Amino acid sequence: MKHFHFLSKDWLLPSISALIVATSGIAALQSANARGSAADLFSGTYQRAYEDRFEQALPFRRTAQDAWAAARMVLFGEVSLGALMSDSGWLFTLEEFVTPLNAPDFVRELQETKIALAEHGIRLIPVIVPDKARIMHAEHSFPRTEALDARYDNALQAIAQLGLPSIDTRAALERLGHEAYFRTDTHWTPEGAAAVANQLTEALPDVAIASTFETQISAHQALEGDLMAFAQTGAFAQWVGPKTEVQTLFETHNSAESLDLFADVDIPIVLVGTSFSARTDLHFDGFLKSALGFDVINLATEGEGPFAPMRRLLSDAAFEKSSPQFVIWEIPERYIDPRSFQ
Amino acid sequence: MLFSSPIFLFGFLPTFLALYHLTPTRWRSLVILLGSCVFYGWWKLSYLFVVLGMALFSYLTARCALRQIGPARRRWITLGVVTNLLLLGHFKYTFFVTSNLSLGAAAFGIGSLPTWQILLPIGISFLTFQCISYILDVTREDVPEAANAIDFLAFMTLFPQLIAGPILRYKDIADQFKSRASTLANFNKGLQRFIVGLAMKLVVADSVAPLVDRSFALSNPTLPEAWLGAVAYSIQLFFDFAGYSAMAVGLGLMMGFKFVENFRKPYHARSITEFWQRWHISLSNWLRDYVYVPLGGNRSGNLKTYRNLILTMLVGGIWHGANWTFVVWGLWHGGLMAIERAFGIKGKRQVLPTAIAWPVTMVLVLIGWVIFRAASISEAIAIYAGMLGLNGLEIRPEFLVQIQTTELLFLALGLAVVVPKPDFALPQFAPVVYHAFLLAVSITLMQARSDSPFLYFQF
Repeated sequence: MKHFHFLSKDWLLPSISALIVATSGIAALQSANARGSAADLFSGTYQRAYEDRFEQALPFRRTAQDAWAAARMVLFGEVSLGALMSDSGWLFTLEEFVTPLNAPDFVRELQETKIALAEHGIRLIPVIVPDKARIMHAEHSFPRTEALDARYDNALQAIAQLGLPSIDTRAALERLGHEAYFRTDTHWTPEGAAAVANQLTEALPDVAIASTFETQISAHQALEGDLMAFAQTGAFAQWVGPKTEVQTLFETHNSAESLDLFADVDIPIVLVGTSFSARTDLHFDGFLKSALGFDVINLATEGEGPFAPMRRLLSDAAFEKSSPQFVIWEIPERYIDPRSFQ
Repeated sequence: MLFSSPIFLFGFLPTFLALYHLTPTRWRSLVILLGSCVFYGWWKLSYLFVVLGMALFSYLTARCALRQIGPARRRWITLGVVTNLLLLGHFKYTFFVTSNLSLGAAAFGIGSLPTWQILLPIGISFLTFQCISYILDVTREDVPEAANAIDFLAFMTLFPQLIAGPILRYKDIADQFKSRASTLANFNKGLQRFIVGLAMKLVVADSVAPLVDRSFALSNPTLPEAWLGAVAYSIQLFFDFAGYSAMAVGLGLMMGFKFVENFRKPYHARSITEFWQRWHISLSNWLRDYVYVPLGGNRSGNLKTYRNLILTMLVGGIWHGANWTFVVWGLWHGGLMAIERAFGIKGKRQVLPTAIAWPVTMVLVLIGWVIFRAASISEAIAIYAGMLGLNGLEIRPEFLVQIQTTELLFLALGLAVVVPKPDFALPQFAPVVYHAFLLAVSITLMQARSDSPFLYFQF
């Protein structure tokens, strides 16, 4: 131990600490923009903003975040709060395992929407997208309450009781196995979207399917799954963390020979929903066109849930003047409050 | 500015320490004052004037009082103490008082009254108590008045303890402003203490914080959910507050100051009385000297002793915050201390048999922490109902699925550290290896997580 007597010197720890602190601090001070106004200084706004810039400018910040994420993943199979990672490396959003907060009464929303659309002679077609955790149940062992387990059946029953088409998409998605949903993303794959779109033709036998729309593969690309935000290991990704997926991209063309650019275009179908419909890479609207044979106006939005875009549509004066025959309302299961069925 | 923030650790602290140690001794109080002004003003420059104003006012009031005798002196003392309390009341209790008056008026059909919400200057509760203790100690002539305003303001704004204590009393630290040992050995010890405090905060307290937040957000927690939340909060609060105090003591030592210790293994206590000799020691000493003793202490018979204990702890509760929950918490501890006194605790650690003294004390402390943490009395009642098993006995899947392994791991680590255990020899790693490791882990976690407020900042 005498060779290590320097370890007990009083200057050693301060020196190590000074080295760590000085290298990071000087780099951050040089990079963080110090400009601001005196008024903001007085109120504290300048300080908050500078502090954010200083923090972002720390040279080892990203490495520290990645290192901690990697350590948690390796040691505990854990990702950041908001997502869950199963033993087989599948990522799931935590939202599918808890009752949604501040969700409206599903049955009332459905009923009011049906009535509002019916006043204009428009039929409502609800499409409930099952939780990824439900379809891919073999890939995880996370607990779910009985109320959440029963939610999909209860939603279909409520839809049927309102006289609306009750479309059970579970079997179509389950037949696809691992191809139904992305491993690192909350959403269905284009193949899953296509399966559900095709199922709608069975649910809507009275819709003409003289389809002139053709869908084909256009490319392949690496997918940055939305759940990867909870499992970022950055510089350590080649050793730790979910592997990047490859997704297939599709495009849909209208092959009608006599397409007259100046002819009246009758678009009988409006699609309202969430990112399951809004994301172009998932191509749900394209698959609907191919399956149903009609063009589709896609009014789905990302990041708002399913209810806000529908309410906006119903209050839009322009919508009242248009004349769609159907509104397909895509609703991810996780937005439905199971207490709506009590 | 938080001690556990990058701007403090990588920006302010190294710059301040370098300037401080390069400055000749006779100018160091000024450096402390300027540095502390930057530290506090970093939050909100406008409120720095409140802090300096209160400190300067207290200094001048004590100065004027010292130069008077008899009733005139008492008037100055009263002016100083009451003004400080009024300022504290204005910032901290205006909304509480006006909103309760408004509720009361509505209940009596008078109609609602206006309420005002005022932004609370950080650390004002600590500052107020320090100002009051200065005025009283100086005018009682327990300590000579500060040699000059700079020394005094430097003491009052001393940034290691400005925001969340320990509550320093001028008489305990006055000599150190005249001379203190700024040695490398002290600096090293202070740095080690600071690193341990930083690790307590970042590694344990912040790791269990999300679990606590989720538990207390449950409207009807079951038995295991409620108890898990209560235990987790007791660990979070200790590691957060004691960690902060350790950092404050460490920072002081890096400047050559020796501060009073604020915690002494509080979860080893075998009675509530002993608990308050181990938890937030600077506060309980302050309450003893400036509330309990002036009320009469234990000099006027048993009933008045019990009354004084309850009132003192009630003041302690109200000091923590403007909410009925703190009132109940203070009464809870005061009442228990009075009961222990009635059973002959004076001069002893415990009144209960040794086999049950510690677990019973810890349960009583836990029960108190629930209402301390709860946002309202009704929220606390919901947790208590859960703790009694009135909402069921199982952990529900929705709660279970959100628990992270790291939360449980660091909760277990925290429990292992705080509970009484037989002494055993730990492997003797060189302190530098141990502390360097803790520093590296703490810095990693600090940057990995973005939000890490101190719990006691709200006071």
